[in-house]
Amino acid sequence: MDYRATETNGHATLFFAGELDMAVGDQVGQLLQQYGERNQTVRVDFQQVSFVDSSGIGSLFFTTKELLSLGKQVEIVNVREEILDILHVLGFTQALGITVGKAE
Amino acid sequence: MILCEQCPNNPECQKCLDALRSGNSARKVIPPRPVRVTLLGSNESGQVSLVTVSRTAIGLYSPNLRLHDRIEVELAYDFRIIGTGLRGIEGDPFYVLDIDKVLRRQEVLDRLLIEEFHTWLMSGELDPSNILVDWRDREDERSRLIKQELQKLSILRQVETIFLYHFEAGNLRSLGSSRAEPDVEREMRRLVSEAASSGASLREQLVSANGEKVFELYASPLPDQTCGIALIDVTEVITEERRRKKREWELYRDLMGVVTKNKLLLLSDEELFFLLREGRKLLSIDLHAPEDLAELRFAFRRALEPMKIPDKRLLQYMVAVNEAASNTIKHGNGGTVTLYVLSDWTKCRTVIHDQGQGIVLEDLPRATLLQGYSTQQSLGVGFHVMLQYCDRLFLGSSHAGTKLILECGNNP
Repeated sequence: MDYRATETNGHATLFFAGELDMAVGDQVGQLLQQYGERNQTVRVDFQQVSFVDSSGIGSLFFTTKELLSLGKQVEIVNVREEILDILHVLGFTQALGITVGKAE
Repeated sequence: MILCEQCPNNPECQKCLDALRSGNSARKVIPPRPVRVTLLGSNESGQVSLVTVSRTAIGLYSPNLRLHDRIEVELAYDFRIIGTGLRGIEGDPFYVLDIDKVLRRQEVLDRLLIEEFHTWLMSGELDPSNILVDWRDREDERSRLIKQELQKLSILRQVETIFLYHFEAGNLRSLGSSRAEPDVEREMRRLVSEAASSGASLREQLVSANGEKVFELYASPLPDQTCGIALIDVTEVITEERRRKKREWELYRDLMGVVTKNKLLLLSDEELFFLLREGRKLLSIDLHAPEDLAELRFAFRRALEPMKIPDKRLLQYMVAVNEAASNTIKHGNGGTVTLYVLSDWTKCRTVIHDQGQGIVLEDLPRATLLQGYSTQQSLGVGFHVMLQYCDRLFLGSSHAGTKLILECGNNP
């Protein structure tokens, strides 16, 4: 898994790339935590994400939940159709009530 | 090839049967059964697979331990064979053991699984030592009261008989109208003599000489160098416990079948074995750490290329396999993931063998009925994904761990 991030005026965007599985799950959550703490909104870009499973996005899920409870905004964007399907089956989006945008 | 991990691909092979030189009486053990052997000359011991049996010889597959001379084979609790080991098939670690002596209590084996017995024993439901500790009075009325107290314990409602004895200076005196069989009393006298001289209380299991009865023995030494003894016939308790577990398993099997529209099937070890021998093993990967998962997905994708599974479907199947594989690591023990494919490449099956506790039967309804993160339980999430993304799921649970089989066809 690779990532890069941009931050402007309280808005951060995290670009993840590659496979989000158990081996990187904690790191993904920590990154969101880190950028979420110092920004009001965080956009997570999944354009380059080619694989997810419950362990890979488990930490992302719980960190998102925490940030939402602190009044922050989190959205996941540019999600490939097949990855979006997995997120739905995992119950990820329904349980969080956040916007998950399809890839254009 | 002999009956070993290769045999499922070649069920017609007779070599291991021929090696026993027992004619038509030889049979394959399916699935091969792990047994413990001890080389009586050197006292070396290890685990091997029992693969064939006949009335005069057995066949053992032992890749790690060279079997020779006099050998004792522990087939099960209280059922041993002593024999002489001979090499069976040139070039294969297959050994024929000519049976010299059988130490068997077959009836007990049929009725008693030692693990079930331990489960019951560890429940702590039965502990009459407190009742026996101040047992000085030898009157029959007293023994009736003790028996009455013991019968209040729920586990003992299924107990057929309780024998009460008093032990003094090497003599056993029955406190009731009935006595246990002479062979049981002999063994009890031996054990209780040791307890009386050491002054420590005793809790032991006894099996009657004909193997038909199992007893729980409690002996409590008294300050005057005598001993109070309760001998409880627990044969029926154990049989009932086995029946209960079987009923429970069948209930879960039926329930899961209905709830998942026959997508999740609970199978016995033997049913699993026959299911797998329909296919050919493509690869097998041991998992120890999260980093192994990427390698697993890569190897699977490459191995499954000839099946031509549509991309989206293959990704979903990989997510399901990955969920099951992650579970084995999450529980700290790791596991083995093996891929089988049918000869016409229309269907594949992935076996995830969890050496840890695996999936607990009681968790299944929750894991199956609730979905996603709403369960707050990792098994719930992963299991739901597996059910969604596989054609069928097979689950087998035994003392050796849990085997989960994920099936996927090449249909879109």
